[in-house]
Amino acid sequence: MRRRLVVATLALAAVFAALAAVDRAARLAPRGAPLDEAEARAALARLRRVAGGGGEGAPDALLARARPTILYATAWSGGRPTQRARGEGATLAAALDDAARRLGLPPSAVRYKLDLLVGEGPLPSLPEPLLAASLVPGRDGVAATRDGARADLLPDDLLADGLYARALQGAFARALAGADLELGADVSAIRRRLARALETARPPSLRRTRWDQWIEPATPGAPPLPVERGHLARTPARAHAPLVAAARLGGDYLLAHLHPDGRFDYEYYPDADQSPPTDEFAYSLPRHAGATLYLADLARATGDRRLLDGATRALAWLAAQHPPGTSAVAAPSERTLSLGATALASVAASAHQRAAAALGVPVDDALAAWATALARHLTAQQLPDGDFAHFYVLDTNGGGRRDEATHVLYASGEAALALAARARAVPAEAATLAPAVDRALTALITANDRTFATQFFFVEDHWTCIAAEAAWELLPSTTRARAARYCADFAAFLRRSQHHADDALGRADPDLVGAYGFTPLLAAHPTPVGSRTEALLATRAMAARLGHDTRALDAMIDDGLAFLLRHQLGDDALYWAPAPSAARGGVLLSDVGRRVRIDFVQHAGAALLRAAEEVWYSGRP
Amino acid sequence: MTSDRERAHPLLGVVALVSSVLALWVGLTVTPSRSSAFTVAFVAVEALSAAAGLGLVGAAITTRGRAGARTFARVAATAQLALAAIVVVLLALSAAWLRGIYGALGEGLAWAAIVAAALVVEALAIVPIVQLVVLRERRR
Repeated sequence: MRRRLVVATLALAAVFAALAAVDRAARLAPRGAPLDEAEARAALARLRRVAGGGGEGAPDALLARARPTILYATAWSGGRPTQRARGEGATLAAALDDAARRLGLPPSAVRYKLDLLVGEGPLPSLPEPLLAASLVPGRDGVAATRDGARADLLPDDLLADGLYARALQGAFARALAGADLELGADVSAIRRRLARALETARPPSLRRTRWDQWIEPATPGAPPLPVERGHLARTPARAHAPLVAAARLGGDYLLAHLHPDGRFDYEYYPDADQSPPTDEFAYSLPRHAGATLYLADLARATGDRRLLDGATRALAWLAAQHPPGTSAVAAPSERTLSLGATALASVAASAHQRAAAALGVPVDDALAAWATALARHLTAQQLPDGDFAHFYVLDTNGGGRRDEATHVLYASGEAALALAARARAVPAEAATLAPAVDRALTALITANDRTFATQFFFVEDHWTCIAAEAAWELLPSTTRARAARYCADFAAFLRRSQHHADDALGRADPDLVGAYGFTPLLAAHPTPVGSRTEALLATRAMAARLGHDTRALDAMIDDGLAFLLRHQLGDDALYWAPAPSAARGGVLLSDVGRRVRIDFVQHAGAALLRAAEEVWYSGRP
Repeated sequence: MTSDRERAHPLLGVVALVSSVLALWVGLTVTPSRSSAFTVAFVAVEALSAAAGLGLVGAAITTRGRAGARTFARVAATAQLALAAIVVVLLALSAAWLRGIYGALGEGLAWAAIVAAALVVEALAIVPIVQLVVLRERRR
């Protein structure tokens, strides 16, 4: 017995020793302290002065203290790093002067960026898939040395070339349908680039680096800006004015990418200033409807006629997207009509009607008739248990049948919201629609009781909670209470996956606070932050009406809004984009997935607008 | 004379107690169910297992009531094993339903349910199986 105990203890000790060895092998060693704002301001000013030929000037006490420094100074112009130089020295000033002398005179108007080495550690020799998952996307750089020479790939380089993460493919990606996940750095490409920089044919061994990053603002004279993962690490205030301004910026982005025929640039790549063409199957009609909805809601909130006109144009294009013989929304050549596209089109049409009424603009008769037809299609798709058939299959005789067996994400929640929105837009139909809305919401909030497994988690219930709040006036008190409880549970579930300032990950990666996830190795996505924040705002509104405590919700909402504001593209953040005006107001898939899609902007904008209207607008500081 | 297996009983009791407390913490805070019926059954079974663990430890310390403590521990372990089996079956049924209804997304959820079932076996079934084996040996 005693012998077994000794063996077990030794085995346990061996495991802990192995863990400690792995931790030691992978841990970054500090290489310098990050700058504070005053130091960064002084450092960037000195860099600009010396690089511009203005001389080193008087020694600056902030930069003169002893601190062995490795840094890179980069001149950004036209969205490109036009000049870059490494500087090393015993003080920050010496390293800056070293880099500035190598940079030489800037060719045109530039923004200088400093990357200061603050951590470095080995990248252990691991099998490629493990090595690929060993870089924190957007945050880690990679270095290699050979015969005393050193080459670095900074986070900006890895972001620009998309080397941090590859989109998942194959069966795993299909199982995570629609999740837009990226995982695993392109280590082979990183090795090739570093080998080229070191002029060696042999693949160099790699080191992981961490950088403190500061850039000059787009507006000369403003304070320097900290950068993390390619976005600004500083969070604007969450007050009514900045929230409305950010929401408007999202609307301006959509207007800038709305074509005369009413179709959007579905995706835009800011680092290439390109919108790739999309065919009728790649262009998502539900997302087009969502973007239109956002323009209409923003028009109603701001009274801006430009936004209403944009929404009208986008809606008119959407109304033309249907196969012969039906008003339901689908690509004209499609034979299977999905509920979600028609539901979101209906929500957009209702929002447009309300916006037009608010601005005193008459709605075109054809659009009004189309909106009525959409609502009719949705009620015809409702099943006896309150849920909806998610597809309608057209036959060759002009008729069709409901497909009641196949379910997809979001569709039932979108349809419930569509009926509630229709009741708000056309009060004369409210009494008729109320029972259908009640049944739809009851089905939604009991759907997870159908199987054992789904009683432990929620999938994506943001539309459910947005619909419940929108339908509040139509619902009996029992359904209101159940819906509010369900959404409070949904919020509690979300809270467990949101990064908070007081948890370990929030302390290590403060720019991720407010995002949802469980590791910094998977890049955080702003779009779920937007949709969930909007749902949390709806949940908060219901809780407040029932007199419940909303403090936990407020904290989640505040963190989510801060994250969205940090991730909305503005001129200061777009140093890496050749055409900042085209990207302004956009929201990326993630820090490492540098593309803007219309629904990314819609979800983030809707959360910002709703927050401005419902929480901070009503007197909260 | 006390056999090795009998000397292992207090250790078994401690393991049962700790694993039940851990299971309760995970089940009530990390992955709580929205089903009241499941929560009640889960808490009852884990509380029974914890009490049985305490019983084994207590009997070893006081050297009284060892036979009763063993019987109680066997009953608790059987209940825990039955709960684990039911949970695994329900998760498997859920996986099948999700995969059938929700297409590609359901496939992902079904895999998650199967992984959860595997974790349930590890978290809820291994300790009671060891308990039953050790306690049954003693009975022979």
